[in-house]
Amino acid sequence: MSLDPILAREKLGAVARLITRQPPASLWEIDTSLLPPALGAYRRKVRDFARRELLPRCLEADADPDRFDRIGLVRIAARAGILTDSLPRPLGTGGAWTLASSPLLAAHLRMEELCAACGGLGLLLGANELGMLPILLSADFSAIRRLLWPALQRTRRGEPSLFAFAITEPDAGSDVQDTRGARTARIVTRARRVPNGWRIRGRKCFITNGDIAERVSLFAALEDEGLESWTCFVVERAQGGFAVGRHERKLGQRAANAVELVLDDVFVPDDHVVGPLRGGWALARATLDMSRGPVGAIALGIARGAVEAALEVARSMRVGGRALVEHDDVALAFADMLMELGASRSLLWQTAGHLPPRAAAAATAKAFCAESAWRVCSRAMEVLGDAAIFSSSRVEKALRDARLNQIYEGTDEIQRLALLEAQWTTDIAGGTR
Amino acid sequence: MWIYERPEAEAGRSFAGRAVAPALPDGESGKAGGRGADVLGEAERAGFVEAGDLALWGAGIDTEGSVAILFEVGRVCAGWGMALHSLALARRLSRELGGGDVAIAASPIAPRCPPLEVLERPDPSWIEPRLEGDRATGIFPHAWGFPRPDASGSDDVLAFVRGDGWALVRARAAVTRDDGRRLGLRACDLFRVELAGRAEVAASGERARQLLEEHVARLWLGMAALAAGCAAGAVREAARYAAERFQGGSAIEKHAAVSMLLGEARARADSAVAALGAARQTLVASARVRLTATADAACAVTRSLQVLGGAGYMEDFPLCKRLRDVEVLRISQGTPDDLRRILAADLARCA
Ligand SMILES: Cc1cc2nc3c(=O)[nH]c(=O)nc-3n(C[C@H](O)[C@H](O)[C@H](O)COP(=O)(O)OP(=O)(O)OC[C@H]3O[C@@H](n4cnc5c(N)ncnc54)[C@H](O)[C@@H]3O)c2cc1C
Repeated sequence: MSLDPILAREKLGAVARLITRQPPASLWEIDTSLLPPALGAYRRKVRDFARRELLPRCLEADADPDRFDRIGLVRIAARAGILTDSLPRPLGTGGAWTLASSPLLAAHLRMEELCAACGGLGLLLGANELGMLPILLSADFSAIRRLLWPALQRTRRGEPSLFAFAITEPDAGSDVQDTRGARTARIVTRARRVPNGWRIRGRKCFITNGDIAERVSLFAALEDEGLESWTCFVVERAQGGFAVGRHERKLGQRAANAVELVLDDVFVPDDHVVGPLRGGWALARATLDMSRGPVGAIALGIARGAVEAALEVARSMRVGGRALVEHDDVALAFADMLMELGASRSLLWQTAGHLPPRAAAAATAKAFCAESAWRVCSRAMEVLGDAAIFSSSRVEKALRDARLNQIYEGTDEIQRLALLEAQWTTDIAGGTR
Repeated sequence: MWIYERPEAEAGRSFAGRAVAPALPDGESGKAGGRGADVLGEAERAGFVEAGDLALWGAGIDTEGSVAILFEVGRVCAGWGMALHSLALARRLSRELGGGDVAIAASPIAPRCPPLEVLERPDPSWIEPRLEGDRATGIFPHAWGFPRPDASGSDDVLAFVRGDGWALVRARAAVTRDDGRRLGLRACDLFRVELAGRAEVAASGERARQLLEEHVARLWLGMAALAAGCAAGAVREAARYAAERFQGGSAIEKHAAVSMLLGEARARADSAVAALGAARQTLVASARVRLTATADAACAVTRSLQVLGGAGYMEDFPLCKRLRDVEVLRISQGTPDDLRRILAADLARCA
């Protein structure tokens, strides 16, 4: 009698076989089968795109980001509709059924699939969406028509016009992500009223794609006021006084540059103000609540990429007369990693169910996935030992990439504060206290 | 006595300040800038050289003293520490065998270290490099070594190979340096060593096995010391940053979240240093020390990096390099699972 749990089921009656069946499938297929068909097809489409276009370029982009043709890749993604598929036609290229099923889950799926191929290239493509979010969330239809529509149309034609998102300043990083910190934030970027618009002076730092974006959704305080006056301005790169300062040399996710933006009395016309004056803090927080889940998915993607790459090596590398993967301790290490991936994905897919997103859920998922990704990548490195330490190893790259997720879009510590802020005064299970 | 209270630690500190700090590799390219000769010159002035050779690991300076020196060098740059350590290991072996100008000692423990029984009796499925008659053949894909000016060529090496039991051979080998594009320890060179010719047997049988055990034990103890030093340096840098960086209405050191990071980082770094106190030149003791000290050190470094927020992720701040270095010290030349396997096998024997 076979003890194989699948074969053993043959002994059962037809109905029992039907309700206990587990046809063989990859973990990816098993998870995908949980999705509504349109989202399942979308997940497959992005995975295939990422494998075809990102994976072959990932090591090259990491090794020499200055020489790597980022715009070329952005163009390919634009033509494939990847940069605009979070929005329905005619604005974007998103499928009606995909977006009707869950636009937020679609964003999670996209970031996991892109970053499973390459964290840096995934960020390069994904940061555009972050830059567009304040405009979309403002629900200011005239701003959407004026500022987003033309850019989206160009992008759809394959001439990408990218957005970046800029809140961080040299002396205000966590402070612009946390309510308590915001009260004493030392911000320097300010907007001064002039005829027909505003003049902005100041500095932003660590801005992803700040060097290639044509427009930046940038948050500035009004003159002589504090952070409660924060307002979102769309700043055109071509405007006089706008300059890209320092390019950071990063540990990982190197395909997407993080740069300083220097604003020296940059003129912003009135029709480039997004949402109401002094509505910037609310917009920035809403943007972060919306983006933290997908940033958690970046972490998950990077971790999955590390496991896939490690498995590939472990299957081909022979140690002690067998493939490395055939050693029990190695197999157990992969089981640990797969459990981490499963936990992160479950949390993310649950988080994506909230529309509008819940601050606590997004913060929880973002921090959990980031910390889990670090554990997974460290474990993947351990399994391969010296074979993993070279820059030609995707596992080494994933380790460096993963470390960023505990920092950007709010550090792990700030996520915990966000979770507490949103839920601490409520009972965990509801009811009376 | 903490390892950094030993008199050798004082010498290590001043050597690291004089020789290693000015020779720090550029984070991006990894080039240590051809400073090898200067570093060795300073090592001589620091009293680490005896009869023309680095005197670490019992060749003048005892185990604890060697650990203390490497700890202090690791505080400044673990890559240079690894370079010095690798050279000292090769010199130590060659001294033991009556001298000779050998700079690389290769042992078949990378990319994965074989189990205890194979370290005692080499098995062809694990150990490929072998001795047949007077010819040694085989490849050691990852051997750390002191920076050399030329990327490849041939060199005299000492190598542990499979003969009738273990054999330690001295041979001319083809030596190829990697391009330095790797996670960490970029100041140190990493070689691929290929044996394919005549070899002189320097030791065989039980003596070769004993030498291998001692060599690997020293290698692991030194890596543990470098990791602990790397962590101690990281904690200090994080504490300094936390006192100066202002967020949330105060210096960040005042926030509970940051003090938890710093407290844990300090506990782990101290614990790594404490583990070094049990350094012995045996396989099991060194496996224990390395397993715990490098895990604690890695935890201390990643928490310290977190204290710097975005700055921690930038190569222009020192935490990035420390994170890269400590990860390599944790997994290279025997992974944590390899060390666990050795400890468990020893336990089973003792039970
Ligand atoms: C590669 C990269 C890309 C980025 N991309 C962008 C971008 O596109 N747009 C953008 O606007 N920003 C971007 N950022 C900025 C990022 O969001 C910030 O780095 C992050 O929010 C942390 O801020 P900080 O670096 O100033 O660290 P700090 O705020 O100085 O934090 C330092 C440490 O103090 C802790 N801390 C700070 N305040 C508190 C508090 N009140 N309570 C408890 N602990 C606290 C933090 O958790 C951290 O451990 C990017 C950053 C990086 C590294």
